[in-house]
Amino acid sequence: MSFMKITARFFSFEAVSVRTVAVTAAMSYLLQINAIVSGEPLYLIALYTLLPWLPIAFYEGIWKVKNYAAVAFLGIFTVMQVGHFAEHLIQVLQIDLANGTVACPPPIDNIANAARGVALGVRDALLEPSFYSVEKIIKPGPDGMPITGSDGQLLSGAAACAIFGQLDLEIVHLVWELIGLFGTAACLYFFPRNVFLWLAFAGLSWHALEHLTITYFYYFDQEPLWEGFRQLWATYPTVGNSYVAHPVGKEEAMLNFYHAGGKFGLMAKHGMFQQLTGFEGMPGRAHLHMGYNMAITIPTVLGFLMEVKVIKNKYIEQAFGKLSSSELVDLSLRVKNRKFAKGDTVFSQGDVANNCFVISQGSVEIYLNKGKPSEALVATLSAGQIFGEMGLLDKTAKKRTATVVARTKLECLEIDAATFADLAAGSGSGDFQSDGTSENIKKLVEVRLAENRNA
Amino acid sequence: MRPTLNFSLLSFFIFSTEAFAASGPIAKGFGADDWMDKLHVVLTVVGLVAVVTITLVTLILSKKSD
Repeated sequence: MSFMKITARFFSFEAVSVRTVAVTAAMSYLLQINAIVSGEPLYLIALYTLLPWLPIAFYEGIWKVKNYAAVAFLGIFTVMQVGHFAEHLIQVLQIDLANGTVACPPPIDNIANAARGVALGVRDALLEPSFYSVEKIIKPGPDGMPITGSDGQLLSGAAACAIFGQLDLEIVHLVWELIGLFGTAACLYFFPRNVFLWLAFAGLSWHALEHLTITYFYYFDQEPLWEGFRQLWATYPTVGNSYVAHPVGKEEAMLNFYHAGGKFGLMAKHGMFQQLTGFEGMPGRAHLHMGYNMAITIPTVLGFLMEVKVIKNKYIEQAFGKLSSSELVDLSLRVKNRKFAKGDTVFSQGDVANNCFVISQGSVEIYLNKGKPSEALVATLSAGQIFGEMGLLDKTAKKRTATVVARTKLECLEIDAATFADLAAGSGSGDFQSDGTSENIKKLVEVRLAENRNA
Repeated sequence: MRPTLNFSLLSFFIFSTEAFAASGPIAKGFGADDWMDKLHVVLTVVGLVAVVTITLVTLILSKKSD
């Protein structure tokens, strides 16, 4: 089973129907188009594009954790870390490639900034503040006024706070860091021999030093002891609901430890290390923290890829415990998730048999002669148990020997006839070479026959 | 351009927050001495992270040896 196929299967929707995915995609597309046509800024276009996917991603995530256990948790966690790293990377690209200004969270088109826009003569006095975040910032000089380029034009660029810059808050950084630290520890608890996860854990421990220190200063060290200034902005719309921040000077202010210099943290340029040693070669905070997150995310991804190679559905593992590890991986990738409502007939006695099932959630009742005077309940099966195998083992008729009804809301993993025949054949030919599995299937048939006789 | 849905209201509730110049310069008079005055904070954080890390590693390794 190829590695790419395994990874692709893991990231595909298994619990959600194609129809649900199609409806969600259509909703996402409509909201995206609406946001674009309405002239919304990039962060709202991104938000409305992602919103419809959240419920089904959540549902699918829960299903994956139930079926694939800890590997699924690691996979979801890895996706979140990649998303977080992407935000850091985008911020750095905005700084380096889009002439960005780091003023995070980005200035907002609020009452004060709008009023300065009117006073500056760049905004219509009748235009109400929108409370949107700006997407573009005109660069301020040391005096807090705009910098002009050699061509006489104002220097401007992106508000370099990534896509969702409104979340660029110290508390968000700290919470995410701690989720990373404890989440990676939880993954290591299940995969303690995964060396990549240990590397990520070491990076997260170091990163925690930075964020705990910075966040402490931000919230708990409020004494205004240092002379400094606060940048003042005027805001006005450009195209649609995109706003720009125009620097209009600075106001003198007494700053607390965080604003005076603590915001740079321990190792970034202007941070503690530079202050104590005089070494000026450290990268700025945005670049350093992108680096930290790269050092955390790359091993997390490698750690996940190492584990996903041997991903097994736990219900398949329960039902076919005699298969080898690689055979369980193979079989887990061949099954399809099927759902039935309470009371649904999964199949009826006499139907053509072309598959069998492993129960992953709920239970079923197996009846002989259902609906006839001789109707008899022969068995009740639940999670991890197989049904539908008798018809497949019938070498001539290939007919269902009983009727199966969902006793509760039911989820099953469907195994096709060819795969089951391979499993039942044992060693010698086919992809599955487990004589133990073949023996277990024979024993299961004997149990079923005994149940039928006793009914 | 008028939005076809009222995005601004949502934007106000979710995103409204004060902006500050995170890239601004260091304040006048701020330097090594100020960091030295806060050394107890840094050392407390180092101690806290060390304790948490060692505890987590111990828990993980105790499971590994099960």
